[in-house]
Amino acid sequence: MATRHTASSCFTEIWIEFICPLLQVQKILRERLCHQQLPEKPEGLEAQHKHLLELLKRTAVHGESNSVLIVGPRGAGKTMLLKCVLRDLLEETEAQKNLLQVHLNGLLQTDDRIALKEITRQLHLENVVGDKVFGSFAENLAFLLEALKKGDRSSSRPVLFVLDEFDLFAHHKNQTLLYNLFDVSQSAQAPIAVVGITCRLDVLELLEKRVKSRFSHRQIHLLSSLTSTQYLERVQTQLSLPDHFPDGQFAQDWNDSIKTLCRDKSVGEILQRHFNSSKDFRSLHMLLMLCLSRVSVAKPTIKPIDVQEASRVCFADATANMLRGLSILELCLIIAMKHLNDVYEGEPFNLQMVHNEFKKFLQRKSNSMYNFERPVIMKAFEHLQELELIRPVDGSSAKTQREYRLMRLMLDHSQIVEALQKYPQCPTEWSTAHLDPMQTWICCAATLQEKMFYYPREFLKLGQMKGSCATAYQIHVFHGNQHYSLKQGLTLTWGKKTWQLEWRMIFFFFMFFMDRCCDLSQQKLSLCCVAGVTVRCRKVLH
Amino acid sequence: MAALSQQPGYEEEKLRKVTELLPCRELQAGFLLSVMGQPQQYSYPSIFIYGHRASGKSHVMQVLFKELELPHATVSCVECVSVASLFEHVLLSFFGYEAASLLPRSPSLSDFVRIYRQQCSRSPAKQTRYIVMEKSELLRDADANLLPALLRLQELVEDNITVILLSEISWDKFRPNTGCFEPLLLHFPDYSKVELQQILSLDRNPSYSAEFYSSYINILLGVFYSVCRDLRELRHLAALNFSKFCEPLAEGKVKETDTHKLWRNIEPHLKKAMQTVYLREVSSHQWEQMQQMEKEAEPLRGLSAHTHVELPYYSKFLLIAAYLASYNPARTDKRFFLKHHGKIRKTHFQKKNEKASNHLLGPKPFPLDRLLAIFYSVVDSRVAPTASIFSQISSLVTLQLLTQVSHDDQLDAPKYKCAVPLDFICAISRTVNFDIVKYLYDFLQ
Repeated sequence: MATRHTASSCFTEIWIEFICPLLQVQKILRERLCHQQLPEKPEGLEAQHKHLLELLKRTAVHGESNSVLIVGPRGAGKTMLLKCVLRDLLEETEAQKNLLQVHLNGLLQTDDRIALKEITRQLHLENVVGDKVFGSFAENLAFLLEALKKGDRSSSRPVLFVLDEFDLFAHHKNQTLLYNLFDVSQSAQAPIAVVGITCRLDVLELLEKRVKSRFSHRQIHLLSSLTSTQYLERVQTQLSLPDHFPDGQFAQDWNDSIKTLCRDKSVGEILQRHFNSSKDFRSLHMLLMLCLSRVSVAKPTIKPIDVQEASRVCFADATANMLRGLSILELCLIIAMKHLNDVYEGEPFNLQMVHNEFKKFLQRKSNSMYNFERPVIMKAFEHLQELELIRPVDGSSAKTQREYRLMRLMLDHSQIVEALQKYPQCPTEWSTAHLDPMQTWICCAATLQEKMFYYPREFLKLGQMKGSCATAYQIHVFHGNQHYSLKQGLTLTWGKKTWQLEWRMIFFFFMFFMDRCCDLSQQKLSLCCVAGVTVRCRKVLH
Repeated sequence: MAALSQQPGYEEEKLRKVTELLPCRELQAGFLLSVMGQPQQYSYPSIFIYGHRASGKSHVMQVLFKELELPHATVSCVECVSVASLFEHVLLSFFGYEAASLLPRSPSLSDFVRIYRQQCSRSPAKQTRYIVMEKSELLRDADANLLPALLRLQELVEDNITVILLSEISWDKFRPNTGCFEPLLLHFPDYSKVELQQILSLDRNPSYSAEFYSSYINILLGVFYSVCRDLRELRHLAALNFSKFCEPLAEGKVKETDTHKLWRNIEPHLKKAMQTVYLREVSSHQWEQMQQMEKEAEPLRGLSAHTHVELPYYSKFLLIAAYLASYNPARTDKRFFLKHHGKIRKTHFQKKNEKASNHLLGPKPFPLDRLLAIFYSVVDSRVAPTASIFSQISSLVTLQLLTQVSHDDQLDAPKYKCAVPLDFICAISRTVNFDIVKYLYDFLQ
């Protein structure tokens, strides 16, 4: 009993010491990173903030109509800016008393009927409208705005319309909503402010002429001019704990650890890389969120290794990941397709051609282990199509037989090569620099045999390699009146491993080198001509 | 990566159970839990999980949510024929029946968000709510605004909610034109051979020893691993063929340790299974029956039943003629079917590059006249062009052995294409003693 008591009290101590502040840290930072909690003031956007605040204040306080667009790339802080402005605006009592807000989102209000219903609801006018039937949209909107007039009937209450994903509203039929809103804002009917938020720079091109002419052409651009040092500072502020953190000492330690983290060289490099690929808040938040998720009781601070891991997750190549999970047969088909692409310069192909190419390759090997039935290959092919690694060519009608439907490979040369290198059974020492189609093909041969074969340079040393040669083959090459012979052992020793070489494989490689006019100087051979070479082979017993 | 059993905020007992239920997926589950954080904390608005089929995506989600008792709604996009059922399901699982009944008929996303917010203000989330969308690649075919809205649902409904999308396709193929909220990407790698062995060995029959079963799995993987890495498929195959594997043991011919003999016994069966069960040519019930029949010393008949189609005599020739018309260039007809075709310049025929081979590119359409001309020259007896011949052509079209290429309303010169493979037509021509290969331009010596 006593021991249990001490254990539990010990636990409570740990709870107070460690877990509790860590809980707080997770809570505060997660709210910041995941829930887009508003910062004290928008960093780097002070000018825009002031401009927008001024504009909206004029509507809210003086009853002046306005329209403005906030344009900026995704994750630049458009919504954040607007929310900050609204927060500051509502601090003023007059604005708070007066201003009505309507928030619409292009993703939700997909047509004007839904939008109007939503406006009615947000203005709390459902009862006023009741069962009234309106002739037109404009009439309906005018009625709504009329209903908002104050008791003295002289001036309506100002309404702020926020249109998120503004570009989507431009796709509505006849752009009725936009036309009416801008029309009201233009002709002094009722004081309204229309704020559009969009990520499309060409948004004005989307507007019809009559809509465009009613828009004030006021735009606020959020084009981030962040430098890498500012980016680093932002990382630091995003991860730092606020002053009002309950456990002052802990906050101090945490902030110090963040400071040292940001000063770390490797972290700096990673952040620079992220900065180079995108400067927006969102991708930064994702990175920091991943770092934060690795903080636990056992490891109460963020270490450089965490940042590295998080960055690895962020930058993971999805296609390469998917390629790695393919079966050997599917990978072989991909290689065959790539080969066809190289030969026919990107022309589309069909299953029959791929199968043919694959069969040609199999013929070169005595091993018939990969001689699959055609339907099995068909199934693999269809799986590739399901994964959208290959895609049917447009206009290739459904009427054609499956095996003749034209397809295109949706992968890049480099992606395939990279996947081959990372493929579990592929040897890792492949030289990355020069893998041409033929070599890739050989890599595949090697993979198929689950043996390590592909060493263009090393292959030449084959003769010097020590092997327990039970049997050996002798290859005689007659070229013109010259005569070369190569002796090869059947067993190849490489490092600690040994592989059984098939002579056909050796032969294949040999032909390959002659094809490529390689200079076999290491063997004191120089074979520079492809034509007129006869190769004869004789089995020699030791 | 944090180990699964060390996640704070969850009971250790439950976490241990989760670990047991998720063999070979501890790493992914641990990562996921650490991103999700403690139940009451905010989580990332949307998470996208991708990986091959049967790499444990849905299983991990199911086990995590069920065992840790987190509020969640699991929706399979295959089941949701309309967005209405999706919304209803989500509302039902979070707020109960009453909330779901508030949805109007054919609801829009706007209605859903409105009702969600309404309900949410009544019962705010104490824990993060999760929506899991299985097979989310189908969301791309739904309304264009659905996917971007789901990705930022947390912002739209202002609740502690996380949407988790599961898919076999990488995120790059999802991204809409104008971009959207980028989810957190997480990859589930496929099980390695060792892991597959480990998992498959879990469902062993208790009456046999573990070594025996794992040696069976080893043989099975040896045959199928290079073709298929789908755990579910392999599991099915393992269950079907195990009785066959045990047969010599039951008869007392071999001992459990005699792996080689067992392998010799089972290998042809597995090869056969590859051609039938794996391709879904026979159902598992049929497969069992076939194995029974074999025991009664009956020779196993050819499984590829689709090569045996009984056709009338003239239909066979019509099909052969169609095949020839589809795969031979029209200019070579003279050489094949005319008695006095003059001198054959062989070199002309042999100059073919491979790309042009029709057996690679597929059948070409041909007009009806050409089909009939070839038909009259290949069939032995004299046939009158009666209605019965023409009706046989249209029944071949109905059987989908021929396809009509031109439009239906073109009555005077219909065009067809032959839609049968080479081995099929070879089998047909053998029944009528016709050597088709001799008449095919692609196989000309």
